[in-house]
Amino acid sequence: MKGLLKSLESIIAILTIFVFFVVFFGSNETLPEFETINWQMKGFYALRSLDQGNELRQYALSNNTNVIENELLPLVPPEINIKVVVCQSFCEKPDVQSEKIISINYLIAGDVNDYRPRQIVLYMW
Amino acid sequence: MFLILSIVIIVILVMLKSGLNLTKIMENKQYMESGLERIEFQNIKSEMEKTMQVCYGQGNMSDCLDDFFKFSKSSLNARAVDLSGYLVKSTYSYPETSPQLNVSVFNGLGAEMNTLNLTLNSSSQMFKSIQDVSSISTTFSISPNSDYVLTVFYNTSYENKTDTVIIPVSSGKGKLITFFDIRMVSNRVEYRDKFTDTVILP
Repeated sequence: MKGLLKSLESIIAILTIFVFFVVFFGSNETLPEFETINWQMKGFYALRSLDQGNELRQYALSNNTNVIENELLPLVPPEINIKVVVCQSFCEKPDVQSEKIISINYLIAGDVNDYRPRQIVLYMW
Repeated sequence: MFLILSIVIIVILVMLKSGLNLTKIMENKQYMESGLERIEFQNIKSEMEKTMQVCYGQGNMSDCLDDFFKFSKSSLNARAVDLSGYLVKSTYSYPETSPQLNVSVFNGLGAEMNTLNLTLNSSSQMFKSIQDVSSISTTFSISPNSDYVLTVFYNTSYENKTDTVIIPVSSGKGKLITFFDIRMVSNRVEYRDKFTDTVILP
């Protein structure tokens, strides 16, 4: 009889925890994505750092995106893939198959005595 | 015994859940996103100042500034962010027999300026109906080695505003003194800044 009561008590306890778990944690709340914002921040600071080294503008104005990408690679986390697009008004999106692709825009007015406004778009995935 | 243990487990779970405050996490995310927009706003601000150096000796610096404002606005609009504001560009050059201050105002407020009143010390000029993304120009007579105060008053359908720009006029090389009032508005945050930059003309 005592054993039966203990078994019943344990079943009730397990059921209580199970019901509580389902009710309390069952709502479909998804945590926000922080990683991509961090990538955007790091990408922007990487572009700015390149600009402060007087390298970005001349490469951007000559549309030398490969050089910009190579210069950026050591400045962004190694697990990120990057693609740089330099454009004026309409910027084409790169053909990248990834669910988690984000971008950051960096605007420049041109280089010394060379007014040619451009957008430097850094795609990361 | 088992029931007491289950209550203890439930209490621990409640404490864990309350520690994982989703609202707080969302607020932190929005804060980080607004930080990202802040650095983009700083990029535009610093680039507007650089535009004056970039255009140095290359055509009309005042036109470059207007053009860069339009370029930035178009770039931000593509990402559902709005850039608005207005620019006041004051230029004088020497040597001249009768020195003049050229003042140009670019309206990028996103609305028509119904009235624009420019007052240089005691001399005043009034303009009406300045369309969005357009500018007006005028001149004032000045004398060297004097400090002038340019008061700009405008009225739109949603605000009346007055700003003042100090213009120190000295003999020698001319200057371009630009006053910027720009604001960037997204669905999360609004940034606004007023600043002045001076360039010695070539």
